[in-house]
Amino acid sequence: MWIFNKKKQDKIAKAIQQQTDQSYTAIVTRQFRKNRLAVWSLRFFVIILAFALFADFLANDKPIFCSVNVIITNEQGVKEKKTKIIFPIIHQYFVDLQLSKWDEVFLTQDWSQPSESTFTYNFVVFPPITYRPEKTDVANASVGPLSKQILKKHKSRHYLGTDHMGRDVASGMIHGTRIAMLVGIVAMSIATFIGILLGALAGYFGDTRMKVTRASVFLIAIGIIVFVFYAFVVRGYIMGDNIASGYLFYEMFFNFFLFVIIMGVSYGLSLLFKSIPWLGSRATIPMDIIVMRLIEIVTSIPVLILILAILAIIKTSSIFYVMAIIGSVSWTGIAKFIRAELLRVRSLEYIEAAQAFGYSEYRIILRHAIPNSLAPVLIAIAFGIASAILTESFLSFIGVGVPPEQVTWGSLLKASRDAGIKAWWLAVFPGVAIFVTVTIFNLIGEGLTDALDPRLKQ
Amino acid sequence: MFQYIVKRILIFIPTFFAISLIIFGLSKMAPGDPVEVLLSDGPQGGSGGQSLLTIEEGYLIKAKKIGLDKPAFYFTFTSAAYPKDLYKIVKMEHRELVSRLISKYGNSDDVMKYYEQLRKVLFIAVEIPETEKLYDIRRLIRRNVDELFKDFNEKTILFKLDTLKKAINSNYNSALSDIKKEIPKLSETFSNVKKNVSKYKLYTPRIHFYGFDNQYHTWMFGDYPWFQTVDSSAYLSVEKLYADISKLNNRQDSISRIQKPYIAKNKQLEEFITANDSTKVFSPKEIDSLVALKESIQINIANFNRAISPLLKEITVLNKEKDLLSKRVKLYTGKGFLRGDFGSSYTNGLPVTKRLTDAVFWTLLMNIFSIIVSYIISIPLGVQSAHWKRNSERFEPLLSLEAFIGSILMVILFYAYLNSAITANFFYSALISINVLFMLFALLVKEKANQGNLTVNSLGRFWFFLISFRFMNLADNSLLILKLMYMWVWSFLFFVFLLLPLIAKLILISIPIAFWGIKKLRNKVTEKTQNFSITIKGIYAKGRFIDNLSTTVLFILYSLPSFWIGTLLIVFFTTKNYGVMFDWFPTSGVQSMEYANNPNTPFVTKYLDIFYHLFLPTFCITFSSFAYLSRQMRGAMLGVLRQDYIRTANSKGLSEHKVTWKHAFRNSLFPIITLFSSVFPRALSGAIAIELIYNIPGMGVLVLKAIGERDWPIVFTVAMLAAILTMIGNLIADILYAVVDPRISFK
Repeated sequence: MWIFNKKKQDKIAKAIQQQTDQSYTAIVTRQFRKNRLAVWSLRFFVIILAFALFADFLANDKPIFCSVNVIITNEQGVKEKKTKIIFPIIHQYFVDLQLSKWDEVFLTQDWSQPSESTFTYNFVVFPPITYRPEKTDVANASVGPLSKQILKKHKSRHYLGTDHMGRDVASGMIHGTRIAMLVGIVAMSIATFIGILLGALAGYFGDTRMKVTRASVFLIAIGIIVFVFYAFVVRGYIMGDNIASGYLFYEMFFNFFLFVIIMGVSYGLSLLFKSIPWLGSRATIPMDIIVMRLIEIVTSIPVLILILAILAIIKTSSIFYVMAIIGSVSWTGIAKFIRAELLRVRSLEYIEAAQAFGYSEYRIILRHAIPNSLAPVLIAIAFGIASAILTESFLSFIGVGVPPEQVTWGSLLKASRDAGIKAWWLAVFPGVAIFVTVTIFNLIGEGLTDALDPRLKQ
Repeated sequence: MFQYIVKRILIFIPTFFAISLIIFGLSKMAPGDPVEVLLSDGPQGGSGGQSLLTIEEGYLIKAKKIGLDKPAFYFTFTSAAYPKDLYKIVKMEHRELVSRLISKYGNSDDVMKYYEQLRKVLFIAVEIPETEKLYDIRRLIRRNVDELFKDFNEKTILFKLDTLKKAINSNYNSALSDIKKEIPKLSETFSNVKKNVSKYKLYTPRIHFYGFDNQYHTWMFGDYPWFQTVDSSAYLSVEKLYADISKLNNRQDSISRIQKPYIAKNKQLEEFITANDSTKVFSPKEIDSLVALKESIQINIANFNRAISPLLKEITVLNKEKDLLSKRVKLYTGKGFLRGDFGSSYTNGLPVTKRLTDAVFWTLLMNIFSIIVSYIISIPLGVQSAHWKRNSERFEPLLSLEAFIGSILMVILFYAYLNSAITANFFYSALISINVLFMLFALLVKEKANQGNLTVNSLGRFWFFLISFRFMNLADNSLLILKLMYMWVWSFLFFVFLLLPLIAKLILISIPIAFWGIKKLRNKVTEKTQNFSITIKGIYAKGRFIDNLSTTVLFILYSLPSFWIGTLLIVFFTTKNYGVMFDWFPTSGVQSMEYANNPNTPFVTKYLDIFYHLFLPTFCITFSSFAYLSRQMRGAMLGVLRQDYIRTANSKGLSEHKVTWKHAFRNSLFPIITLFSSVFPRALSGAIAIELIYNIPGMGVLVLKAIGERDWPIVFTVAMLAAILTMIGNLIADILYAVVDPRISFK
């Protein structure tokens, strides 16, 4: 019996601890839980994420699972019947990763209506929506969700209608979820990285605290010039060609590593020159002014027009450029947040204690200051994801930057403009998807703002 | 204060130049050759049928006109391999060839030699006569040479050179003798390029300085003199001369093209005669006819020559004149951005300013209206909803009697108008009078509540409200606008309710009744927990309820994407597809053709028509900013009302009205003022999709169109102007901050 007793005691102890847990995270979580709307949007977000992850299993023209009778001609020329069990969608992943290949029988096969000579189904499970977003269904072009549709065997209805080329709207919306989530997450990761880096430098060091030896000022300046020279002048054409042929992220990482290496070398050299008296004396770098000017410059150009101008000069269009560009212009909010937070944190006692211990500045920033000021950044990230999704759907709505064959929520909404005025389903459903997603992230942001507001803590 | 402003402007300048540098860099990275765009759509038409030399000259003139013959910036930071005068190769494609080859091999001299030789080959290749025999080889040579200008890959270059060599060696035509000499030289120069690779030069940095005569400087400051006027007549005459010369060149080209086959035939004939002369196989008759043929051809040639010679004379005279004039007059590119010269559009050669002004009018019209409306409504709404939050237990009017009567009257009016039972004039005048009467009534009610009885003065204050500039009076009376808005919202709801089918009506009515019933059953509703009170004066609801309602609606409005709402409105409210009664607004455009084309249209009619057309787009760009502003205002007001001095004022026994408007209001304006700086860029960029949907020829559509046509001056001018407007907005916001809050020091 003591086991049950212990379990009960644990439960009570946990409940008491939860009540009395006065750590910052516990308070914030409790405050956040009070906001029912925000909690529900968090749950909804998980659902949308699941939609994005399992889009292929929800809307696809291949079956999820099937057992088929394949007719195979063996070496003696005798036709044989064989029963096979396959998972076509999962198999397709392996094929895409070049780990496997399709049998010839399945290669040019309409999965919903296999011809008699190749294979027949014993048992088959299709996804709820049996269309890929880019597949056209000419017989059912511009049909509404309620109007009559010509459907073959194994084919689901077009639940939300089709566009003027016969592409299924429901399928497009499910696969569009993936793009929207990807845009939100990738763009915001880039923005968060830049924002935290610059904001932390500005907030922690301020105008007076960053004292560096003259040697390292000179050498780092030279290092930056050297980096610009080797990255953009010497490798300029190579980089341009690589980016044009789709190696954007490779180039980004390459340049980043080049930057780190050159900076490391110049910093190492600066340690050597430290012993020279004039070079060894310290100069102050007004980090705050520099970063704030940078923020002012970026925010001065309206984001949409800046994005349009940058997208205009890129020759090939891809969704990844859109993500990268949105990310690289929307870091200012995060930088401002973390700067303000670090301005507060840097004068707290524990930072002084860390300084008294003689920890290096970078260790203090990375290990002590930033982790304690990350919470408000969550607000900026939540709102940022909402606005990134909105920006992407706006861009595909006006048809700039996103390749025309890519089906996104914005491009579905655009189709309502192309298809003429009568297709109400094209105007309503993708818009609802955009609206719901944006609202969810806004609500999460609101909830976080309320939960993190110290004035509401009592 | 003055010092503060000066300081603020001093910060403004470096930011401005940094932004101009970013935008200039972007414009330099834009793909495509601007001169090609200019030439293809320019006033002189296509370049068909001109000789290569004329085309090149035309290219140069155009490039000079937009200043592309200058270096890009004050200095370049490149590797030592690149020559300083690389910019002198004006043609973009050629410059790219040279610089790409240099970036590969590092020896600029050899690459330049190869490039010169390639050009030489091109000029010879163009001159190969267009006879039937040479057709294939001519095409082959032209194609290969043209491709060599775009080729940076060693293998393919070698392959092309090889095919050229083989093709020429296999053909024994005398017309190919020139090119036969040059092609081996070309391969030789290329092998030199390959041989003398000097990679170390590529990795050595070097800075070249070019001085002030560069593209950025010209774009920003212009090369036009600042303090003296230029004799514009001479300037124009040079331009005219250029045009004349190119026209004459065209004519000469076309004549000589017709003449060419005759000369060729003559030559052939002569050869034929001389070759056959010795054998003397011709009969005299045949010889006579041949001679006659020859004579006729020669006469033709002479005629052509006669036609050309005055042309040639004219050209030489004009050229001399041009040289003289251009020595005297400098061809200026422009006055520069800072003096309001934004360059000229690539597609139709018009100045950017001219194309912008037309577009700016519509965008500004919509946006100024939208900004004013959203500020006027959102400030009182924000204050009011803060009050609802504070007094959550007090009953506030949800639908007052006067609003109910007014909205019902308006619904009847709408219905009658849509069924064309009344004329448009009657409709408008009745609508306006209902609104004015409602305002007057609300004012009188307010005055009565304030003072206990009505005076003449209170009527006078109504007019004072209309012209009042001071914050306090505006704020004091701004609740009237809120009441007006209530009436409109209610009338819209009633109207939609009226148009719905019967089943929907029944459901809509039964929902609140059912909720009320359930709640009553569960709670045994007492006076205290009751949310609504229905009296003869109207429907009253508790502050909590109205606050929840308004924040929810505002939040939804805030997160609704405006381009979606635009699409929905255009789908449902502009056609008869979804009900005859829903055809309320025009589908697209800014004004009706009948009014736009008729100069006799009265001013009022014209602008009413424009208002009618712009109603939906303006609504679309207004609602989100309105919701945002209201939410900000509410948050700020709540923050202020929580402070100690407000509690003090309350406990002194001041009226709530006085506390709100006299003590709290000013301090709650900060966020709204900060947002003022973001109003300008939103005005420019926010309307892009809406303009696209409603087909309004504004800035957004102009930018999108320009991106499609690769008309970069327009795109980057708009970006630049937007940035400047944002910075000015920031400046104004900072100054307003200081005006509102005396605590802000100007240090």
